[in-house]
Amino acid sequence: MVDMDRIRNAFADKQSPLRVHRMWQSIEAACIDTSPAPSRWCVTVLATGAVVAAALMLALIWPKADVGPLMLQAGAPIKNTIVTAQPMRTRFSDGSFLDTAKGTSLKLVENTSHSVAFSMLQGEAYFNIQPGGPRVWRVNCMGIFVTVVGTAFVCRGQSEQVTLEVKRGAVLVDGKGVEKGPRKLVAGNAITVGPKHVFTKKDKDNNNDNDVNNVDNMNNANENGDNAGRSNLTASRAPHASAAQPVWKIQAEAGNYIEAFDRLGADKVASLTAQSNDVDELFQLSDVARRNGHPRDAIGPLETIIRRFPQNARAALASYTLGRLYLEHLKAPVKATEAFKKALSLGLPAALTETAEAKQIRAMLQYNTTEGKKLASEYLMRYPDGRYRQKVEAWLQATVSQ
Amino acid sequence: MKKPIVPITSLSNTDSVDDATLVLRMKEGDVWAMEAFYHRFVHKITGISARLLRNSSDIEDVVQDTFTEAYRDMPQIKSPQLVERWLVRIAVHRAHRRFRRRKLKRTLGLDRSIDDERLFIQVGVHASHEARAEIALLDSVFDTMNISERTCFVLRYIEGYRLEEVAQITGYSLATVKRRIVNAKGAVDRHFEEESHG
Repeated sequence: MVDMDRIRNAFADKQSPLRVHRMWQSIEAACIDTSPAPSRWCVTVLATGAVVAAALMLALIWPKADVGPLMLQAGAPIKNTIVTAQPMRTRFSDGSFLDTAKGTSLKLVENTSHSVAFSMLQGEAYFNIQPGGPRVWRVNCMGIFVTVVGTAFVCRGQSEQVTLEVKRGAVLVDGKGVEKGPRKLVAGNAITVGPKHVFTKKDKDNNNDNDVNNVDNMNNANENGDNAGRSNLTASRAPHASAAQPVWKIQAEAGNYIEAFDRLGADKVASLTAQSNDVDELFQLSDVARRNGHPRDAIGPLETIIRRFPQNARAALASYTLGRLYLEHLKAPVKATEAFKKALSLGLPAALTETAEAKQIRAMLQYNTTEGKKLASEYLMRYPDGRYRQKVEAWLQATVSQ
Repeated sequence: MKKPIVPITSLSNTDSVDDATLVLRMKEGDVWAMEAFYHRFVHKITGISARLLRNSSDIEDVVQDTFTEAYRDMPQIKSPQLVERWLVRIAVHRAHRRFRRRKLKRTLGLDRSIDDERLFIQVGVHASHEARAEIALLDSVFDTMNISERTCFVLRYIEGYRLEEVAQITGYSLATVKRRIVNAKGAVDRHFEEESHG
């Protein structure tokens, strides 16, 4: 028989101190310095939460589909001309609405997924623009150029004066009649300019044949340097004066860009650009080329404005437009960055500053990640609730994951 | 949720604290108690693991896993006074898993390591020559035993647990424990007898 007591007593009672110490170090590292392992339930809840959060983030940063042009609330397209025989309210698809008094006449001059521009010819209109909408609204109130995002204001043409009253939010106003240049008006502020050109019955009758004579657009801020009195709002746009305009310009003002470009051609755009000393005309040349699908031909007039008229209040807008062309149409991020930078340095209207900065970041990230990230960080700090915050974060994320 | 900070009272002699008190202090997050608990049971747990596995790498892994699991599950312990048996049960369970894994790997030819901590290496300096010779024989018998029989034999004859305790530790029924111990003991006796007769 085996003596089991002898065997049991033969084994060492103690392990070597070195081994004991070594094992303790491993156990200590695994247990004591860390939090207790989460339960399976806890892990499941956390994992579910993470998945939901990721899905939410994805939904938020996913590029929004092109919302298309602004429509009427019922889904019908907006007519190019709105003339009201009696007071009426027009509701739009983005929640904005427009109240017009009897005898008011408006022209829709631009309508894209990013911007809407009206030119008000006469009467009285109350614009209630939905805050947070996707479009920048620009309204030419008989010579007062209003740029807004979400606000409410009244534009009223009385006698020989135009009055603009801001009911909610803030607007940026500009125009020849606006003394001391472009300015910001907030809720409760009003501005009156005049005397203005009065649309007499005779004028209107004359204009019935060719309505485009009354059409204006935002690029028609009169900066032609003709020393006409700043208070003389619409002298240069008097209907009878338009008779001397070339056909391409009339077509362009009417929004017929295809016909306007057909009349001009790329060569003529370039030659007119070289000759012109008129900022309005240069903008029109650029618009005609740009809106007709010729972004390269649109660059010349804009660069001319920036080069020849850097002191002009609209040089910044020209540079901004140039940046968009390079970024969105010509895929030239380096030039786009320079253009947006220039636009900002020239004093872009406040309503466009944030957009320009965001687009500058977008362009910069395409070729210089380091600088792009720096710009993005600055943007995120400057605009904690910025309109482009989510997009900027998404661009940064995409840059990191590349 | 962050646990509140528990003031730690140092004790000069860990043996003056019984197992139940040690467990209570560990439940309260006393780091000193955790270390004291380790030092109190590490020799026993390492010894049992060594008898069962005889491979230094596996032995240390089992000891570390045993204490890690014990610290993790300490809040759920219901009988603090039986903490030693609870700990041995964890070690045995871990050793079984480790043994089966290594056996499978060796069967598949994925593990060519040798058991470097066989029983005759585990003897103390005080052991007699006769005892050393018998342990060397036991080593060779262990090579032929399955892990269940080996466990029951080690717990009963080397660690000195009663049959009921062996059943509780291994999770086998008492009858199964008895049968396995009988089988193991028979194998050992037969081997010793064969060796003594030449």
